[in-house]
Amino acid sequence: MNPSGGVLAGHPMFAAGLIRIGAAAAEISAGRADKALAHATSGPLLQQNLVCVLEGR
Amino acid sequence: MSEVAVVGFAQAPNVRRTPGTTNGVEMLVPVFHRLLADTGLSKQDIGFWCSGSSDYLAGRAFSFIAAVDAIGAFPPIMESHVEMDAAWALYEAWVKIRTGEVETALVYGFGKSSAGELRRIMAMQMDPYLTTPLWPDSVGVAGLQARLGIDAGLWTEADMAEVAASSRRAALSNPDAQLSGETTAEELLKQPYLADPLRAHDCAPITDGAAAIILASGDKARELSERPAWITGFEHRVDTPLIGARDLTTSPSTIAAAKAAGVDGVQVAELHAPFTHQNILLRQALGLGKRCG
Amino acid sequence: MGGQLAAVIGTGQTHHTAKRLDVSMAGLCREAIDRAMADAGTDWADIDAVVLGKAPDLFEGVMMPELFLADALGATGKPLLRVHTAGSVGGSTGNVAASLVQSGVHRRVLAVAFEKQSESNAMWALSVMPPFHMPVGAGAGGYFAPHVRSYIRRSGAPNHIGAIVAAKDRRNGALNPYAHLQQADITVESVQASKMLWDPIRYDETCPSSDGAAAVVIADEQTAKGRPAAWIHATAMRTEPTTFAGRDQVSPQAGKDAAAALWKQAGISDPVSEVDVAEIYVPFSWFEPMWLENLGFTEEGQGWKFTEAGETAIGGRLPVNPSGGVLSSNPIGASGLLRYAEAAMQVLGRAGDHQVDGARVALGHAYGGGSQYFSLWVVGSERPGAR
Repeated sequence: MNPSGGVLAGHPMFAAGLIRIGAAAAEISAGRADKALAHATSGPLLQQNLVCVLEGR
Repeated sequence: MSEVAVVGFAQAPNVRRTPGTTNGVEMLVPVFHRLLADTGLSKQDIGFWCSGSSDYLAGRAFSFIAAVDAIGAFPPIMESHVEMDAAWALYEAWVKIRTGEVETALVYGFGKSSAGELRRIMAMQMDPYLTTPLWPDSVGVAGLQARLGIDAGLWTEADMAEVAASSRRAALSNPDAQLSGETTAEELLKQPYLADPLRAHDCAPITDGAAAIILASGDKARELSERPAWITGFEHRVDTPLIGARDLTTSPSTIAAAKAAGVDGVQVAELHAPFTHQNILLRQALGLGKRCG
Repeated sequence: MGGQLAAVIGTGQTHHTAKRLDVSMAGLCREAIDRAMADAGTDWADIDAVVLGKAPDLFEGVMMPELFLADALGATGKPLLRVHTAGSVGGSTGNVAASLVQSGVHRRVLAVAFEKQSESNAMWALSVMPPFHMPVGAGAGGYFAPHVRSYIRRSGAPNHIGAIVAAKDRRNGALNPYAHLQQADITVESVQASKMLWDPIRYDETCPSSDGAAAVVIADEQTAKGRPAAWIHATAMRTEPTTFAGRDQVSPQAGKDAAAALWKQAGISDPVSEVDVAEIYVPFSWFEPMWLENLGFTEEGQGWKFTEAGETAIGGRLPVNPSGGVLSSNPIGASGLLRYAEAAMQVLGRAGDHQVDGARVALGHAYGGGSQYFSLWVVGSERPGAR
């Protein structure tokens, strides 16, 4: 879970969600995982949410 | 229907304050440079550009136009922008590639939170007629959500502190992290409240930063990366803005997006949870188990 | 154009005016949405996703207003995207919504764009002085007037061309019940007698400041076939930097490139004879001849002659802005989607008193910022390739 440390370790607004996808993709590309989930949120109290599933082959 | 993969990712160091402008250019130029060098692409090879940013965070109108200066966009480029987190810009780029019109896309996001008072700025996302005039502090509002979950028995302050401690431990191996270190939930719980029941460690820090991802389709992705990260599910949803009208201890939009994206069998997850209790809330919503940060 | 076919099956817009104090932002958007949904014969259950476009958040003083508008937009529980590409955003909103269908991701998408300038002060919003940038202290007119002077010098156009455009667009606006300005009696002479604001742009040659919204429903082939539809034949977007040495701000390369890509995608080799009607983003009158050239409807330096000959009036070779255009209504963020919607209305035969007879192929055009953002689409009454 959150191998990068997640946004509690750094939260650049408007890039932080993209970074979750980049970090999850890095886990796949490095061969540490075959299937990864990245999530991004926007708006007050998790109003808007995005889920990106990434897989290695 | 094209299959699309992430083939490159780079980010600026996450820091408390950068000296650059709020347009992100100073942070983005080195990020683009590294990303293009890593993939062996030049800017002319990029079929579509898309960014995510906020004018209110930048304190000016059209901040994303100035950010285009980080690209050097001449000859002109095919480009778009969302006033959202750049994860949604990535979504727009993924859609664009799936139309078959382009093979590659570079997506970027930037934010310089240190330029203003973030807790006040975020109040401007609420209903402008009824709620924003009260200037609800964003940390205070999150505290109400945390309290609801505690009262419902869904998490405790100790669970929340454990999330923070795990995050800092994991970040030890992340060279771009702003906060990292060895600590324990026990130590963290000795700190005073910031907005009861939230302590400083429960809240994501104020960070300046930027990041970019390159997407590519099919064979192009296989050419650019030894092991592309194929996007097999990509979904997003929005909930009602009326925070009194939804159950704040769960996240219907996350659950619906995850169901549609197909998250069974994921081995690793990166969650965007700006508060510790939201990390637990999202894990519960996604059915991802309770332990670890 | 890549991917699946997509078509506009319904359009809607508000009655545009300086201050819509009778409605909130939600009410304004909903007025346009309800008309588009009724026009398309769709209901909320039919809509898979919503795309909202508008110009800078500082224009209303709300950060990411799509969030608080989610319920009013019918987006709750669905995907909601917020596009912002400066003044071209209305066009980009249409293009992004189209791509959601063309990619096969969704079947029916609602695109909405709005601006409620009366909520705040656009002039103030544009007058924030960021470091290292030239301030736009004179408003948009002051910014664009030198470009117009440069066009006149280069092309040798006589001074009254701008007034011809203004009088034509305002008279067209009087045929459009939704238009903000209703000036059926305006003449070239009265435009020329109006106050000079930013030489050579006179008061009657500038767009108004409007509250307004526009909405379109875009559907896939399966939904659109067998019913009236404005098929999307091509879309294009291009961006270039705001300033660099040698930049041609009169006829920007980004506009030329966008047009070339658009015509190619639409299979159009001679735009002026193959396009029946054009809705072009003309906020200051002189931009009509400037964009006619930039879009390739005429040779460089010849656009003003086309305008002067009356070819851009309803009944001319290429009617431009039969709706009255931006010169008659300018809810900034919505203005581009209005151009797109009006183009669709023309090929659907639903443009009422400003209908161009026999319109089968129409252009929608939007530009933004300092003429560095361009969004375009071509719609047709028949499927792409059927002509």
